[in-house]
Amino acid sequence: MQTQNTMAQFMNSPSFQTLTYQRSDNGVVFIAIDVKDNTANILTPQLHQELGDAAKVLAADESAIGAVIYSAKPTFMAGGDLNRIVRYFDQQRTAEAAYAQSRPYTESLRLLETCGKPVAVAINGTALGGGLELALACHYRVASDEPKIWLGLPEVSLGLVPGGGGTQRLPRLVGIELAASLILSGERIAPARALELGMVHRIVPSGELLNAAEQWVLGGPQPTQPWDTNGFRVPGGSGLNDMNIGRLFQQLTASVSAEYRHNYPAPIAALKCLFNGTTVRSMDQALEIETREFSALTRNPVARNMIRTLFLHRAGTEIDKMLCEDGAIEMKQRCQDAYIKQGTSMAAAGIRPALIENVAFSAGMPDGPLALSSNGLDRYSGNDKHQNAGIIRNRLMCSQSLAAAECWEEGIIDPAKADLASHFGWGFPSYTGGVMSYIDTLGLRAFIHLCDELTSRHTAELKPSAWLRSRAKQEDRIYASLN
Amino acid sequence: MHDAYIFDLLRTPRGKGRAGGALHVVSPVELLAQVLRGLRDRNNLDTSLVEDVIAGCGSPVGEQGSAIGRSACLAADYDISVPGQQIHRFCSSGLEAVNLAAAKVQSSQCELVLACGVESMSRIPIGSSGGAWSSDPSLAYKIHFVPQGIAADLIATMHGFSRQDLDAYALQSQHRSAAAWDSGYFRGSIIPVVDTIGIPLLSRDEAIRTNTTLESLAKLTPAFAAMGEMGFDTQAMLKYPEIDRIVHVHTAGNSSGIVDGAAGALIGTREIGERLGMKPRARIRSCASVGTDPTMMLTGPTPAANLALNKAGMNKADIDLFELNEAFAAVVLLFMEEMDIPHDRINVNGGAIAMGHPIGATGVMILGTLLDELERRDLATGLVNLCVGGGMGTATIIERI
Repeated sequence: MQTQNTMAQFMNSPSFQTLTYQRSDNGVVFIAIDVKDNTANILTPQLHQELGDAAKVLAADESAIGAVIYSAKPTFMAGGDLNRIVRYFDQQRTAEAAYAQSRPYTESLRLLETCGKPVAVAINGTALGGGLELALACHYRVASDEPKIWLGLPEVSLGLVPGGGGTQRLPRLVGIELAASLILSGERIAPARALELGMVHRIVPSGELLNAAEQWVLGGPQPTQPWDTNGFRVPGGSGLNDMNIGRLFQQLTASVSAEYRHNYPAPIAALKCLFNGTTVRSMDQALEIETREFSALTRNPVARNMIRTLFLHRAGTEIDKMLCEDGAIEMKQRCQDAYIKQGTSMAAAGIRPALIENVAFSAGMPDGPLALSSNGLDRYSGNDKHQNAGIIRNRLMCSQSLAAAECWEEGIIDPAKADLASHFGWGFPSYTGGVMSYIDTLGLRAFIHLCDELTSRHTAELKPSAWLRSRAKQEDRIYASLN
Repeated sequence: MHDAYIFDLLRTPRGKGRAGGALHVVSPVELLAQVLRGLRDRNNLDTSLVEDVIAGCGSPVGEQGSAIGRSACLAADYDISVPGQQIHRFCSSGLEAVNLAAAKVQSSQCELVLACGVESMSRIPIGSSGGAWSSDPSLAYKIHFVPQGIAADLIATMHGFSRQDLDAYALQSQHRSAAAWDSGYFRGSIIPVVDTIGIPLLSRDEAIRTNTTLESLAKLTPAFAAMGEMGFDTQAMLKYPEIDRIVHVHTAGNSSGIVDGAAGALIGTREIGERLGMKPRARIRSCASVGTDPTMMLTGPTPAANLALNKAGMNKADIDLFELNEAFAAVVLLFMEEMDIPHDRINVNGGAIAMGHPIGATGVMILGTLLDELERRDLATGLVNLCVGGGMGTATIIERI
C-alpha cells in the first residue's frame, strides 16, 4: 500500500534530474531530455538510469496513453561522455564490472520500447551515437527539416561499437549491408536520407515537430517494434542459412581486414555484433551480444588511445597551425629519419624489401620506410635473410617513438602534441594514439626493455637515453593515469 | 585388426555443373542411388549384408542434406536394415568416407561397408552450407580466411609457378583425360546415368575440352583477381608479408571444373568377400588426414601423403602411381615439387581440371581411376590424395592383391 501511494504521488509529478516528465490532459506524456550543466545532452550515468525509470513510470501511469521524447536543447543528443569513457581502460575494471557498467543505457532503451505504450521521438537536432540509438528505440521517429541536422553512429572512430542497441536496431531497420556501411564508416546522414532508408518515419518543419509526434501517439498506434512481432525477418536476410549473408560477411570481414590491417578491435567487433546479433531472434539476447562486445572494447587500450588523442587532446588544438610549429616540424624530421634508417639498415642487412614494406603497411604506416628513403625501393634487392615480422614491426614503430621521446627530453615538444603531430603529420596510426601513446600503452619500462632487446639481439641501434631510463625508474607512464 | 579390402568401385560420368548440364535434371539422391544400384547389380549383392552406407558430400544441405547415405539406400531399394550416414570434410569427403569405411572394417565393427560420395553442384551451389570458418566474422578474421582461388594464387606466387607453368599442366590434364577416355581406360568403372524410363542421359564426362590449346588457355582472364581486390589479397598478405603481391594466375582453364556426379566403393573383410564371391581388388594400406595453415589452405597433400606413407611403413619410392585431385594446377605442381615426383607418375589419366571436381564424390572417383590404372599397368601400389578446405589434406594408400 505504502509503495502504491508513493508511486501514485510520484506519477503526478515525478522528479528527474536529466529529463522532465509531463503529462498533458490528453494523456500524452512529454519527456524532455535536458542534461544539466551541459550545452548539449550527453549520456551520463544518471540519464542512463532515468530513461529507464521514466519508461517504468510511463508503463505504470494509468492516465498516460503514450509519450513523446524530445530534447530541451538545440541539438538532440551528442552521444557518450568521452571524458568518462576514456578513463575506462586505466580503471582496470573486471570483465564483470565493465559489463555491468555497459548495461544500464541499453536496458533503459529496451524498457522504453517494451513499455506497452507508444513512444514517439521528435528529433529536433543532431543525434549521434547514443542519441540516435535512443531514437531507434522509439516506435515512431519524426525529424525536423532544419538543415545541419545529422544522424550517425560514430563509435567505431572512437575504438568502440554502438552500445545502446545501434548494432541491433539499425540492421533490423535497414538490413545488414547498409547498417554495416553506416556503422563501420560512422557516416553522418541528413534526415532526408534517413527517411529514404527507413530510419525515420517522417520529416516535418521544426515548428510542427512536437505536434506531429503527439498526433501519432493520439492515433493509438501499436506500441510494438517490428522486431518484437512474430515472424519478423531482418530486411535482406540474416544468418548463414542464407548464402548471400554468408558472402556478405566474407566480404565485410575481408574489407575490414584490408582497411584496418588487424590493428583495430572495433570494426571487427561491429561485424561480430551484426553477424551474431542478427542471427539470434531474441532482441534481448541480441542486445546482450552487443553489450559484451562493447564492454570488451572499453577494456582495450585502443579505445583509450583513440579517444585521448583524436578527441580530447585534439579539442582546442588547431592542428594545421600546430603542425607548422618548429617543435612539430623538428620531431617529424627526426622520427621519419629514424624510421627510414631502421628500414634501410634492415634492407642493407639482406632482409627482403617487400617484407619490410609490407610489415610497415601491416603496422598501419601509410608509407614504407624504403619508399620514403631517398634511394627509393628499387635499390634494395635483398637476399631473403629470414626475419620475424614482429621484430621488423617493433623496430619500425619503436624507432619513431624513441626519436619522439628524445624530442620530449630536449623540450622540443610535449607528449600530447607529439601524439597529435605524429598522427596528423605523417599518419602514425591512430590505434596507437600516437608516438608517445605507443610508449605509454606498452609502459615506459617495457618500451625501454624492448628497445634494448632489439638492439642487443637484432642490431636495431635503438638506445633509450639516460634521461628516459631514469624517468622510467620513477614513473612507468607518460600520461597521468586517467582513473 | 582386420585388413580392409576394396571389392568394387563405380562412378557416374561427370556432367557440367550448371543449368543445361546433362545431370542437372537428376537429383543428387537419384545420382547416388544409381551408383548404389550399380554396385548391387554387378556384384549380385545381398544388400542386407551392407552394414553402413557412408556418403561424403561437400554441401550437405537441402536435397543433399539429412544423411543422404540413408536416403540413397531407400531410393535404391536397399534392404530396409541398411543404415546410411553422411560425412563432410570439404573436398576429401568422398575419400574420407572410404577411410572411415576402412576403419570400421579394420576395427571389426563392420564386415562390409559401402563408401560413396555425391555432389550436384548445378543444384546445390558450392558454398550452400555456409560455414563459420569462412563467414562468421569472428573466425574468418582470426584465420585470415580467403577463398580457395586466392589461396591457390598465393601458393603459385610463393613458389614461383607462372601462368605458363599452370597452363602447360592444364593442357596435359586435358590431353590425358581425353586420351584415357578414347582408349577406354575408364570403361570398367563408369555407370551411365539414366532417366526415369532408363534412357541414358550421360555416359561420358561432359566437361572435357578436347580443343584446348596453350593459346586458348592463355586467353582466359585470371579468375580471382577481382576477388583479390575486394580485400582478400590484403587479408592473405597480412599473414604472408614476404611477397610483393599476389600474382593471379589461376583461371577457369587451370582450375578444376564445376560438375555433377557420384561414386561408390564396396569395402570389407577378405572373409565376406569370399563368402559373397567378390574378389578383393586392393587392400587399404593406410589412411591419413592432416591440418595445415587455413589461409594458404591447399598445402595439405604433402604432409598427408607423408603421414600415410609413415603409417604404412613405406616411402615414396614404394608408390607406383600417385593421384592428387587437380583442384588447382598449383596444388599439383607444389606436390610434385615438394615430393620430387615426375609428372609421369601422377595423374596419369588426367584429372579434375579436364573432367571436373564434384566435391563430395571426387575422392571415391579418383581412387577408382587410380586402381583401374594400377590394374591396367599391372602395378602394385598407389597413393590418392586431395587438398581440403579449411587447411587440410587427406591421403589413402592402396596395394593391389
